Amino acid sequence: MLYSSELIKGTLRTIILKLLCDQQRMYGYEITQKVKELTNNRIQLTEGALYPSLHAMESEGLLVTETEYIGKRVRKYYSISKTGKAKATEKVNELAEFMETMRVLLNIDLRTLTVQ
Amino acid sequence: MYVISEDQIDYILADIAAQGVTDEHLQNNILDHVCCLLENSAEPILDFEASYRKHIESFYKNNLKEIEVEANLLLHFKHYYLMKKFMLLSGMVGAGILLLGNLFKFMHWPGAAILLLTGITLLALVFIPIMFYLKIKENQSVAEKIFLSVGLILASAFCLSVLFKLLHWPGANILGNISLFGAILVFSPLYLVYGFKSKDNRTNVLITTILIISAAGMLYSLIAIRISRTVQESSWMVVENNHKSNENFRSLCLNTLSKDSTQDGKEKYQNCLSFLQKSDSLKWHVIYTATGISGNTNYNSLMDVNPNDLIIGKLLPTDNSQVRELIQFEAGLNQIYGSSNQAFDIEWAKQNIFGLRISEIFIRINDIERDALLYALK
Repeated sequence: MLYSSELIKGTLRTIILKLLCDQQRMYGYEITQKVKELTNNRIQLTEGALYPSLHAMESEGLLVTETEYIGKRVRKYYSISKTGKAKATEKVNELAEFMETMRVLLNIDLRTLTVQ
Repeated sequence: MYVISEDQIDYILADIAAQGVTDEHLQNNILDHVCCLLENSAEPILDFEASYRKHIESFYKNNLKEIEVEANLLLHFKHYYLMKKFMLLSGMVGAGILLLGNLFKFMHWPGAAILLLTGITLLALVFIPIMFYLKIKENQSVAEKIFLSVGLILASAFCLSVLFKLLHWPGANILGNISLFGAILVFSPLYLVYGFKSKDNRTNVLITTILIISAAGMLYSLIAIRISRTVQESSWMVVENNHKSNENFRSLCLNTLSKDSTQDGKEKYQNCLSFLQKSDSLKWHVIYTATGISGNTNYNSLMDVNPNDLIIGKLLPTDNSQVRELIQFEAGLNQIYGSSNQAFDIEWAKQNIFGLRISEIFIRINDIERDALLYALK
């Protein structure tokens, strides 16, 4: 089952930041593939959402980039900056708290994943 | 693994640029991404172009440019979505209040002016500026920014002209003229030239231009509307009636005075005759000065004159000899017959004569005539 883009929209930055915390450096296509792999194809980042976010986080100083030539084309690698790391921790904690709140609010039993 | 040739890379890059992505970093990101997709494609690629199209089309909803638009929004414009909501809210509330104001005005209920004022102000000074600000931020080219700015100014000016007109404030017609002429002569050509650059939507651009010009033309015909003929006719009918009853009164008085055969009576009769002649010539001189129509005692001939031309204050300067004569005429009468103790000077004349319509001046002169004739009969 694919999750709706509405659900992913609010967590996109958190996903990218956390992923780059754990990896050395990644390029756009690699990020989408990694997310796909880790979630068993259940989250597929769209290019239309991924690149604007990467672009914005780079200009905000959360990410740093280096470019490499692959034949004639240019590949842009993204890695996390020091402020990006702090932001990643903050965002992941925020999301964890949010998930806990939602669990209580919607009365979800995590073991069976059903609404009581 | 499929191997992409250099020519194919050039082709993809050119296509990405042609689809409106201008930022080099984004172009490279998209190029690398689509190349990775092609290289790692599970199915064998027989037709490169078809496969490329299939992949690139999965990047967007409407067009590839939206990736750049979204990136720019995230970069420069954190409050974009908040402003968009505020714009929609102000537009809906403004339009709602405007409609309510129209209903109140139509029903003659109190509070219509306040509602109209609030509604149109919201539309002209909140909704339209935010809408254009957002549009300008979304669009990159200078030409688009210029023509959007022109549109903003004209649309706001038009809304304000409607407001001014409704509330009878001065300047409404000037604003209306500027905004509608601007829409026809400045905005439409800009829109047409800009729209024709892209081949896809030329028909739409042409239709929209026709709609803008015809709508502006129709609105302009409303703004340029004159006082209705019925109003004009009824106004002159009052003068006509006043004139007729005055004529009757004149002949009655002159008839009575002519029966007095004493020396004093004859003198009075002659004085009255010359006085009435002077009064008539004065009335027609005023008409001649204002309208250029002369030597005609038929008031209907004035019916086709633009009512604005019949306001004497607009046409006669303070030192005009006719105005002075009018003042002296009234002052002289009052001195001779003592019907008023008012001090007559040019300031008084400005207050009392300037800005009067000719019809009003006529009724006034007729009043003086009757006063004078009544005094002569005593």
